[in-house]
Amino acid sequence: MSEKTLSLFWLGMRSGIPVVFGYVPVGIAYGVSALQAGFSPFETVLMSMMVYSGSGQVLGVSMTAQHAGLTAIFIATFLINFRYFIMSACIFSRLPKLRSLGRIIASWFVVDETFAIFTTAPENKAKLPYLVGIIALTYSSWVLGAVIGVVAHSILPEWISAGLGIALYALFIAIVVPGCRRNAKILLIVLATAISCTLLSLVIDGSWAIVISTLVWAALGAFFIKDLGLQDNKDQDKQNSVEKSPSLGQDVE
Amino acid sequence: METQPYLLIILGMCVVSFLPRVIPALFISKVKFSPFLKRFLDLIPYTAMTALVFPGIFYSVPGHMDVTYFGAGAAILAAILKLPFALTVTIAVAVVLGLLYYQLP
Repeated sequence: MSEKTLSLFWLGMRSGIPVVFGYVPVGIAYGVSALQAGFSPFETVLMSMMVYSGSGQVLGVSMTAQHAGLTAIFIATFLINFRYFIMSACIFSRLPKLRSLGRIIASWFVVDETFAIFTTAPENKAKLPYLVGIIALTYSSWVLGAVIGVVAHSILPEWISAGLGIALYALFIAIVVPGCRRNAKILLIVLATAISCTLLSLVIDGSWAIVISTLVWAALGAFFIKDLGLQDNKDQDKQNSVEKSPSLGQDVE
Repeated sequence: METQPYLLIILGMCVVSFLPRVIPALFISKVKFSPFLKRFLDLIPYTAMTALVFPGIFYSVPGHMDVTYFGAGAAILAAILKLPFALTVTIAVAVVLGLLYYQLP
């Protein structure tokens, strides 16, 4: 393994650190609710390893608790996870040289946070070792969260488990706000998305409201805003571009 | 409690979560994106995460919507003040847990 590969891997791990603080509490909250839904401790941890989707697992577990049918659970999980389709396309479009087997394995780990950190990293960082670094830390912390949740189930009072539910959302806010600070047009799109998704979810199913407002506002933004000033411009020299557009995931420390 | 086929649920959820991830990884990425599509994909993280947060965050603490307003406000404020991600998350959780504790009978 070359030195550059290793340093990119560590950089990826470092970018993943804030995600750990979001994942462990949410993983714990998930673990507790999975046990309450009737999953065994082993099955609870297994689901975190095999599904690896916070919103998908929370949805699946709550539907299981309500004795929903298998088909309904699978359709709902597919719908809420369909956003990974776009995220996966974005991530792997930045890795044109990666071979099929690598794509199959790496795509298993595509989640919101991996996507947010990787696709907003400057071009010179967004390489496979960086992605593997992010994944190594975030995936293991998600599984660890479920393990702690299983253990903590007998210890934590119920109101603490409930209060932990806000952690993942706070993380998303922390990721989105720096972009809005840098660019008023992004702020406008973000506000429009928040308002329309909130209103839309009053009339249609929540997971559809998310899909529709995500797609519509990204399309409107792409149509009307020609200069996003988000990704680094390829014509600029790399040093300059790194300074000009620090990635979303890098505003730590 | 009536038992569910738990392992089957996990297996099925695994498949429906993996499919949307692996299909574009294998096929879509070989396509060259137009400038419009590039901008569209650049904006997706912002719109997707915003849509996930609003209104979802208000339902994140079952039975305590009022508490989530303060948690959301604290997180937004912390993020505007450029605090590290981890601290932002900690503050939001602390505010929510503090208010929940205060509301306890």
